[in-house]
Amino acid sequence: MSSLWTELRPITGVELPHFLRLQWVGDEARAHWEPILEHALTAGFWTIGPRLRRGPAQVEVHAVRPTRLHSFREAVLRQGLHFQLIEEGLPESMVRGLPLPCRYLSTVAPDTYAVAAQTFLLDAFADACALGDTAILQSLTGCPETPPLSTTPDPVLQAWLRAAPEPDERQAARYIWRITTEPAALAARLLALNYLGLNMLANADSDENLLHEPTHGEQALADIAQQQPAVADALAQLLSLPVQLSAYHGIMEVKTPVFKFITRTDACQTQIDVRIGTGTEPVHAGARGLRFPYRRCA
Amino acid sequence: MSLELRPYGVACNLACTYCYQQPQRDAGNTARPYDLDRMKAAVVKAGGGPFVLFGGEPLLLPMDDLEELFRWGFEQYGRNSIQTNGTLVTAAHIALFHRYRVEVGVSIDGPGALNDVRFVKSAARTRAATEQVEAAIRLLVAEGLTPGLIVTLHRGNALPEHLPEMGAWLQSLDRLGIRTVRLHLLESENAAIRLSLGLTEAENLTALTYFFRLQAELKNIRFDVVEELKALLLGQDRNVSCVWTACDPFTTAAVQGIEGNGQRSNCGRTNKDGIDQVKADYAGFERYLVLNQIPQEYGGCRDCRFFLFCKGQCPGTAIDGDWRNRTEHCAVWKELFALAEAQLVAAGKTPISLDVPTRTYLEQQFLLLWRNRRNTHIYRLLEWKNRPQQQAQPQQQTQPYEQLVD
Repeated sequence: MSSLWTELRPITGVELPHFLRLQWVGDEARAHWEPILEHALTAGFWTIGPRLRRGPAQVEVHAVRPTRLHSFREAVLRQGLHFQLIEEGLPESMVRGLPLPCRYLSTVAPDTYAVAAQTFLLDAFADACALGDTAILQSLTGCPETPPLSTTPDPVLQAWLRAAPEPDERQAARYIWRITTEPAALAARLLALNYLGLNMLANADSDENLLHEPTHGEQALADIAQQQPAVADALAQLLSLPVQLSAYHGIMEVKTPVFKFITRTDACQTQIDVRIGTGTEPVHAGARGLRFPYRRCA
Repeated sequence: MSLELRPYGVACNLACTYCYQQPQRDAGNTARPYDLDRMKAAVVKAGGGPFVLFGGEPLLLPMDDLEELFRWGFEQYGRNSIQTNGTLVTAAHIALFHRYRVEVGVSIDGPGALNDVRFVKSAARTRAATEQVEAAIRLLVAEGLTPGLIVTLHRGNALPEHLPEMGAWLQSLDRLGIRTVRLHLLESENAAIRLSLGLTEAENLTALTYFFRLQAELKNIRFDVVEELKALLLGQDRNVSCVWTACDPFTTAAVQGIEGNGQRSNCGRTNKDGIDQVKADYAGFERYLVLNQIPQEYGGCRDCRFFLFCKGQCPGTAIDGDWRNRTEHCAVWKELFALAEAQLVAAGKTPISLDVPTRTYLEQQFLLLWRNRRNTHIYRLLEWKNRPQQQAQPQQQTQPYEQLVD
């Protein structure tokens, strides 16, 4: 397939299909938390479409200096997103010909481009690139089409600067629908919280200040609370859980005291762990375990 | 598939320092109240079939409840099994085993001092317990209930200086009539255990090759690991252990655990956080897709000619306790596979590991199935590959893999 995706090879050349699998710590935890998850993610999801209009781009392309790749990757993981390098071998015209929002870490010309997004959105992004579907690319990246390469020295940056992100929520809904029909719909929708700017891993500041503002999620939650207090309460409970992310060998394992799930991420030679929360607060039906995010035995 | 009933969870009267269930005890997740009716209902819901009473130590169960479980199991499925440390076996238990057709497995690491790691409060009580276990084995054999044994190899029983005594013990068991001895490499739950009890790769190899050679002198005992490696290399993996069959740590297909409250759980070997997670709703084989692609220097199996057979082995023994890695015993297994491979060649057979086109074909089929969340065995793929062409029906051609998956 002649698409950008074939060029977006993970670091070690590892390719995995999309997967999301959820595992509960016990029947009691599932009985209590699954309805909360369902309630929050189904009821809450469709009520805040307008939020999407003001939301951040769902696929972000960054220029990263190689020396900062590790911290960048960690910042991306902190946001619950996934990370994909665009190899140096990627034809410059391909990058510049796409409507990509791009944030520079410095004014120095970048050595490496990286895409940060949910895995399923990376797939959608790749599909759209393969099809040359600029409408979908616009909806995903929040950026209008780039002018022809010849008219500007840096069309990607110029396009980003000119653009007011305006995602097409119908296209967004299309991708949401796609993931919610999968067997692991629950876990998929859990990840899709990011789509609302409601990052369950969130409110952790990014050291690099690379990604969207954490306050975006808080504002979205406040909006929901005005319309559906019960949904907002369920979301707040979920968002309060301590979380550990561990990315390794292309598999990201996300653990909370009541459930864990795995999904695809970029393959790393070294394991990257990110902890959010203290793991000391009691969680209803939360498991006792040997290490974070589980509570230790008294 | 083995249905494991654990009425008392991981509660045990021993305190074996290396026990793979220790993380659960350390986390405080030990015995909970059990409910026989809920356990029975869970067995039925899991598809039924003869179950294994498991622990911890299942003979801690009160005799009445033990009999009720065995009675129900016998009525429902015609037989029962139990895996015990053997220290609590009494004549009354033997009577139950007879009455309800109970097959018995006993865990013991050796005679006398070689079993000291299976500790009971003091050195003296430990030795006394070991004598009880040996007596129980003799009693079971005398009663026609010949048990299978599980022996874990560690620094307490399998250093080079221990091997002659172990050999003599196994020969005595062979004369007694024991037929099955399963040798386990130590699964280290933490660095301290690995340091104090773990054998080095060279020591593991020395021990296993010693037992390989010993088998030729034994009339009855078969160390299943020897047979399994050769069977795997010949594609005859119908009955090999779960450690060779791409176990998904989220569903552990070979072990369907049922806790005392009826909750379904996984094989405890994959449990490194001290929590018996509920089974995931469906299986996946991401670990094996990843291991196949990750270079060996980073914990994967890329380009290993034994990957098709080993598949990174048991996720419970993975490097650093992280199931996304291959087994920490990789070097040992690789060496033993090479040894088994050489023996097959010497016997005039062609192991699949050396038949590159067939091995490549099989690996590709496994990867294809794993990408589609399905698993299979080598023998099934070989049967499919070698099937007479005229048997291929049109509908088979459209959905060929539906007939191959486990």
